[in-house]
Amino acid sequence: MSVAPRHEDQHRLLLEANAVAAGMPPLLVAARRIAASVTLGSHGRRRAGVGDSFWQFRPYSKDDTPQAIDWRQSAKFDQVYVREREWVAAQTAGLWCDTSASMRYRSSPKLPTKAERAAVMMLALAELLVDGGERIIVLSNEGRPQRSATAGRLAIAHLADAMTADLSGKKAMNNAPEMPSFAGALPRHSTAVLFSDFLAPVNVIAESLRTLMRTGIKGHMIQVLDPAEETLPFSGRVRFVGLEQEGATVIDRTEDARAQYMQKLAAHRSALRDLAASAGWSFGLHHTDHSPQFAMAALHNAITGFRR
Amino acid sequence: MLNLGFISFAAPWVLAAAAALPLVWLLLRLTPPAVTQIDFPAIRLLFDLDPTQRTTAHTPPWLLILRIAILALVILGLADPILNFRRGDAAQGPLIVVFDNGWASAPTWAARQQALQDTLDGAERRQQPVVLLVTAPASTEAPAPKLQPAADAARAQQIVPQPWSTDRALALKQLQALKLSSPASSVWISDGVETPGARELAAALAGLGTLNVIEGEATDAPLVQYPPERSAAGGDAIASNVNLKLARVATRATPQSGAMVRALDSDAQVLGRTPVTFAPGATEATAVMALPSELANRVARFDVDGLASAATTVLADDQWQRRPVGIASASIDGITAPLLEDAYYIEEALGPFAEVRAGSLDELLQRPLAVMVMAGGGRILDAEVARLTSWIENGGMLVRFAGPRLDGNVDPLLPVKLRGGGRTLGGAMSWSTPATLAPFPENSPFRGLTIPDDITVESQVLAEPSADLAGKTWVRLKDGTPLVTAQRHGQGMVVLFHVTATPEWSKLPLSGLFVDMLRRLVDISQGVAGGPSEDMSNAVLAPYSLIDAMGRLTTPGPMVRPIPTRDLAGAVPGPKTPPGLYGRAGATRALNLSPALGDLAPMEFPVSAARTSFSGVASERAMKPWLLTLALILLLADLFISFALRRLIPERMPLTRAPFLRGGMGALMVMIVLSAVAAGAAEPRRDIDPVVRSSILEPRIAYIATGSPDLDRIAQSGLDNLTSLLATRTAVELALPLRIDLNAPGLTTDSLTPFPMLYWRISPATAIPPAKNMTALNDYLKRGGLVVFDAPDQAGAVGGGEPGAAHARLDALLRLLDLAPTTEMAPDHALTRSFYLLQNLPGRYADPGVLVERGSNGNDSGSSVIIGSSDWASAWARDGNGNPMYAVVPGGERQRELSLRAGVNMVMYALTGNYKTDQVHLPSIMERLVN
Repeated sequence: MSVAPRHEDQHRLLLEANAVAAGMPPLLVAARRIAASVTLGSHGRRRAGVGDSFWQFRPYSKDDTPQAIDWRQSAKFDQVYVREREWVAAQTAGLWCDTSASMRYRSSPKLPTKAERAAVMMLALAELLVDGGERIIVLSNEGRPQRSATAGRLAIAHLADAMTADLSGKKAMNNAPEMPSFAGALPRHSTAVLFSDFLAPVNVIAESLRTLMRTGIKGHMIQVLDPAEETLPFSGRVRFVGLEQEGATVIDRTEDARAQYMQKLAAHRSALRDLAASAGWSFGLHHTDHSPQFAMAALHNAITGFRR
Repeated sequence: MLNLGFISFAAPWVLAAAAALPLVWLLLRLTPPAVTQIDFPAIRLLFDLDPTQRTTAHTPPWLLILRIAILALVILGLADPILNFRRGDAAQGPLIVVFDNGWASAPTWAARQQALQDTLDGAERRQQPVVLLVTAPASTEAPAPKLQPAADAARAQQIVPQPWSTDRALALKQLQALKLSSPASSVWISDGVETPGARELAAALAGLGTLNVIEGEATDAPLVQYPPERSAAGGDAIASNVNLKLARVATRATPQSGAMVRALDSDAQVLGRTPVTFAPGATEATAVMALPSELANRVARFDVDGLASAATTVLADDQWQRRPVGIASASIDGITAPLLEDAYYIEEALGPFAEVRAGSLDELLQRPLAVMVMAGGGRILDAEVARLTSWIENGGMLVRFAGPRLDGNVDPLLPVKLRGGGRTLGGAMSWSTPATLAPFPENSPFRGLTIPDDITVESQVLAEPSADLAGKTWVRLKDGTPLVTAQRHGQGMVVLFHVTATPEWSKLPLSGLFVDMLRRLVDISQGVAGGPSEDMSNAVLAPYSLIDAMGRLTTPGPMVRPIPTRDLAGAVPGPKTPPGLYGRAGATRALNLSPALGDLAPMEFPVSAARTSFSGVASERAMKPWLLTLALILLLADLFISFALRRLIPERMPLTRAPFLRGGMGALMVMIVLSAVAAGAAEPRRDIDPVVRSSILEPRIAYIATGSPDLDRIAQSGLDNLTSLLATRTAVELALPLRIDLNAPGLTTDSLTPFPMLYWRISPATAIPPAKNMTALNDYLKRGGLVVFDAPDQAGAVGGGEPGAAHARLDALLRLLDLAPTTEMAPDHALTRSFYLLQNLPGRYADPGVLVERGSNGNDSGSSVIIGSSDWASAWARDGNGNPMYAVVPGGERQRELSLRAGVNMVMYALTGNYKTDQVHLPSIMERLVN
């Protein structure tokens, strides 16, 4: 694959993400428990460490350097005190976007593919997180971290790079699993944001998310769907072919099958919501014909824990 | 053959297939339509849908209807329906087609041909053998018609309308020769004009079987125009009346109709137009066209506007215009005294313009005459008066001159009453001066002629004053007495000149006005119809140009025979003697169709014949190709629709992709523009040297090859240097100088014109170019080019021989050119101030003067030559290193600079001419000179 189109795609992706993220305040992940990291962030770790804000005064011991002595405090009392600061650390957020074959679908050329839209939202989210000082771990399609957690603009760049590579890469292999297993991908108590269409059976999804849920990771699921998948606007005699080799089926009168399909879709979605609720995760829905702003706002709220 | 109303089916058994249509409907309805294939990610949700809730698919009803319609159209088309099938013609037996293609068929020829074609097509469809009888064959030796398949009949005959009458008797003979047995149906496409043999033919055809007659509408009845006759217009000597007569085929019920008759001259210009109206039921109509005589003499044909046919066209031959003039004089044969004789001046005046015969009265009146001139003014004897009077009444013009013997009313053939005695003006014994002519009165036919100043009348006969004298006077003297009077007698007139035909009494016969007056008189006389000018009554006239059935003039074919003159009057136009002009140019006789036609009567058909008109006959029309084409179009539409339904049409057609479109359109536009440019530029190119051609856009100065390579090199480098100097110091940016060889064979003025200035370094060894090239150079000078002749002949000049030899060569060359006289250049010549202000134009040598054309300082275009011997090129030349080649004498580098400036001035002079001599520049020039 030549370099130039990829750069173009990347550029375009970044521009779109910029547009989406514009106008939103930097994102600070609400977390009671912060994943262990040494990156300077904004979350107080309630212990002494590297940081800015005051933690406590401690009597001087001979292990401390004399430069750490707080003379003002010491003057007030007889003992010599050392000022300790709070360990503020950045929260780690893991971002995963599903770029399998089913995500590369769009029902009309005017709409973006689901994967593109998800990538844009993920990039926007990453920008907001980085602005808020958090760390980002980019998870590949198979659920592996692409590199170690990074913060700052470099993270965005890496993310954009990874996304364009995924979006323009070859389709998934035949025997790729539908949902990746995220075993050991993220440190404990970090945050995970998952963009996918979640059309796999609910038990398969539950299985793949189990490890994440067990390690106390606070997750946010966003289901990105095409409007055609929501409403089944086809008519007549149609042979539907699955994109990930699920098979094909012929429906004689699609108009009549529509009601049933929507029922099944709603059932699937409610099962997903239950799964999320059971682990304390949030679940969001986004259709590609709507603007990503709304979904982003909802996601923003969910991540910052803002509840009215 | 199945007949249903106005549609008939040729292959009705195909319609049985229509019974299968309901079955097809059912089949199409039950067959599920083709599937559309769609990729769908959420397909898992579509598995295991409840089958009881699924319904089966059907073809949409409109698609069903479309397909059934296609099938129905195909079935119908294959059944070969025919509209307007002529029932009753479905007879066995042959078909006889009689086609009238005489003169009467020409106006409606297209409709007739269509009717014939339809008839033959119908016969072909029914597979009837056909015999085609054409009643006006092109030649009498045409092969006899026979029975043949309809397709062959259509192809075999190339039928054209003929400009003669139909011959039904011949057709009847041919029919009888065929010996057909009944039943045989017949169709007669008739022109409605009765000719001998028509009734018998109709009866014979009716006897053989059914007879269908197809004829034109009553309003399209054929018209005939008979040859018009000229007569005098009452009261007006200049106009003449043309009496037109038209006839038409009509019954009592025929309504009123009109026609516009035009008179055309030989260039097809319309000279006059007159409407002619037929009263209802009338078969003849007349009208009168009033034309001035001169126009009437120019008429070449009369025809009817809008109805082009041989019968409505009448050709006017030379007799329409012939005006023989006879000069009756009393001189006895053998005594000829030119300049004193009466007839001399008249013969001289009329000879070049008219056919002049001389003789005595008796001899002249034996042959038809338009104008009789009696030159000797004398009395006409009583015996001759009667003859002359009858001749004048029939349209002759008698022109008489006065004389000593015409004293008083000597005979009745005088336009006015004369007073005895006459008068003399300006003689030795009278007080008065000779009289001059007054301007012509209003009613005079001589209006418009210019009267010379020097015509004087010394003596004349006088007319008795009377009430109508003013109306009869054509020319007056200044005091009002008539000089020329005229009076009508019947169709002709008598004209009297009150002076003699010799210069005794007046200077009129000596003047050009006399000639014009006599010509006018001849023009307003009437033409005669008579024998040709040479007595060729035994001669044979060859065809000159013939008219075809549409009335157009054509060249005669090889089969047309000449006609003896005496047979022409009674000749009937036919295949051997078509109507037209016979004879040779200047002596043509017309054979018109209309006099031979006789009375026009409408044709009567037997009662049993079925009569239709062209518009009534609706032609048979086979619907099969239309229906099948429609079915094909619908099939293609169905294909397209089914593709669209299955979403097989790609969303983005490559043609609508904008960059491709732009690129394609751009390429197309470029190609169109290029081809237009190439077509426009594909004019024949003159073969000019391509370098010369390039100088048209990039001006450059050129030097003429001297023949010696050294001198050429000097000239080249000198001009190079000058060009670069011009580029640096002035706005003139020339390209590199060019070498022109005046001895080259292909040199034309075009090869020289692109150069504003030519520099010619002349040495004693310069060859004299060929004359043609010197002419080209001359043209170049005349077109505004400038040639600088440089012929240094000082001792030691480059390339020079003896002193004076170069000048001699220059002289020789200049003699070959057409130059104005030259003079020394004045100090304020435009050359000295066209860019730099200079005193003189030095070159390598300082002193020699410069010659320019005389008068060139004020002349707009300036001098076209500069002749000097200062050797400019050597002063300008530089060698390869940029060092000057030759030293200048005696001035040094300052002089070299001045010589370069002189060169700049010369080029500016060549480009701007005398611009700098305008007084506008004078103040600034004076200012600079002072400083």
